[in-house]
Amino acid sequence: MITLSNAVVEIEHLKILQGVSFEISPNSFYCLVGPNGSGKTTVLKLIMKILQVNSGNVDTVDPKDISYLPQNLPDPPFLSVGEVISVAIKKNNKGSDSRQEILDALAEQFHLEGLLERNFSDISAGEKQRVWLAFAIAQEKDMIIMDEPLSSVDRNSREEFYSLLKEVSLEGRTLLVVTHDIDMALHYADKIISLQGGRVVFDGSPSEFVS
Amino acid sequence: MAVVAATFVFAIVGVFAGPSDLSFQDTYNGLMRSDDGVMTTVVWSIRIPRVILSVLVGASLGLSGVLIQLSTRSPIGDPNLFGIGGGAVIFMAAVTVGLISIPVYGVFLGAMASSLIVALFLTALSSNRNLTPVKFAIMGIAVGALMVSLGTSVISYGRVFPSQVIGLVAGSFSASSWQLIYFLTCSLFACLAGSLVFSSRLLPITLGDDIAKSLGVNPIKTRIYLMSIAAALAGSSVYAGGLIGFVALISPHIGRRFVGNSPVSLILISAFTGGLLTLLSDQVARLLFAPIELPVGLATTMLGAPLMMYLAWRYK
Ligand SMILES: Nc1ncnc2c1ncn2[C@@H]1O[C@H](COP(=O)(O)OP(=O)(O)O)[C@@H](O)[C@H]1O
Ligand SMILES: [Mg+2]
Repeated sequence: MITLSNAVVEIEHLKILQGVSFEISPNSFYCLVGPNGSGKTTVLKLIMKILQVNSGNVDTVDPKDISYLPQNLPDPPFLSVGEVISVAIKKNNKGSDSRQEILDALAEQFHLEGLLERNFSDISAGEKQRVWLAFAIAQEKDMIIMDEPLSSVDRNSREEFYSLLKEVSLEGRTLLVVTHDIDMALHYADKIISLQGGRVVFDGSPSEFVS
Repeated sequence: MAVVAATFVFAIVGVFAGPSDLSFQDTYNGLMRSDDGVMTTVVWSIRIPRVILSVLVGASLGLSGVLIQLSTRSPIGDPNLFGIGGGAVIFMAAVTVGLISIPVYGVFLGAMASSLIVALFLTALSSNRNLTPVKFAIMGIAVGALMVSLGTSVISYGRVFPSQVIGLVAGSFSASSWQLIYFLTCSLFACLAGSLVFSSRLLPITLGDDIAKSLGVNPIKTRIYLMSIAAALAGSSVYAGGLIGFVALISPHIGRRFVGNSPVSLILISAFTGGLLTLLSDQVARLLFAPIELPVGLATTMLGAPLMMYLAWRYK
């Protein structure tokens, strides 16, 4: 369980978050929505302990128990697509399957079969996001936090990946995903939190969000 | 395996080939008998130490290069390009001109400490979130140029013999000895062990700090640790052979083509590739215009620069 209570973040006298409060309870799929600059990325950074609050309180878990995809992901130099995903598998290999089997299964799930041997920096933006998604899922952690993970993925595949994330949450994991796809959030999320100007303007179920 | 085998083959060739015009039989006798006067001296006090030292220095550079490249996410990471070896050059220059006078092991440790200072400065730079790997590489090259010019200033100040100066800034194994081998063996194996202990953190830190943290790796601590090992390796290599360019830069790229990025294999292959390249370069430097010797750093650059251009061409 993660709780923000009245969290305020100021950077250079600018109030980026002006008292944000919400709760993330286990085994649910949360979507965090809101216009550009509303503070979504800042909220995730608080949860990941990358930033600290100026006032208020953030009650969160150890960052290493969260599978986190930041908004701006660096291109890892040198590594192939398969090697990038393998870094996540190596860290947390619960099952009895070999790493290669896990890698092959993920590649199939995220349509990366032909790409595993390719240099990561050579593939397209949408393909990279699919690799990072596989990377996040591969860590097999109970909490997954992603900042606009599908912004470059084409519309048709996006639908498919949201339903995949839904399945992941149904396996008993907690997801917090920042997105601009309101319609996807309405369809797949259990809860929607909406930010505007550094404040929570909505926190509830998709059906409440519509009305 | 091929790289390991090639290192041994060329090491043996290096023992048997040389400007002193010894026949194969003479060399063999020198190798096997301890009472053969000049042959024994040439083989045991000149050729064998030189071959071993060039492999040790090259392996130190190759290992140093892979650690720097992974810590800074820069494909052109090289301690001698980024001024880490240059820190040791300044110190060695000060020792050479008599500004500092301490016992030999003090000089050895001093060279490593001087490299460490530059490395920690670069590590602080690379931990700045706004510094992309490209910007970092540009700053590293600037630091490298600054260090070499400072080192050269110290040398000019001291009016030392040109051959000593060239040995320091362009690399030379002509002063090889068993004592140097002892020092280098200690530093190389300690650093190799240190790198292997941290090998599981090498790939996570190339994925950026935020992801590294979520994988349970502290990126800042890890970089300080790896850059310190890289500095010890660079400082000891300058102590033993002067500033030798390109070996650290290209060895990891060549090695990666054989074993991929699996960290333990990459560490080992980078060290072996560095050893082999330096051994080969030193043989070329020694024999090309025999009896006149080229500085080994010139040979590594002649070998390394075209290889680097080829790799850059093939790189995306
Ligand atoms: N380091 C920073 N310095 C100055 N302003 C910042 C900084 N980080 C974020 N901001 C500002 O805070 C606001 C919220 O940013 P962010 O959380 O990234 O928004 P979102 O992710 O919702 O688009 C934006 O107006 C942004 O310009
Ligand atoms: Mg954002």
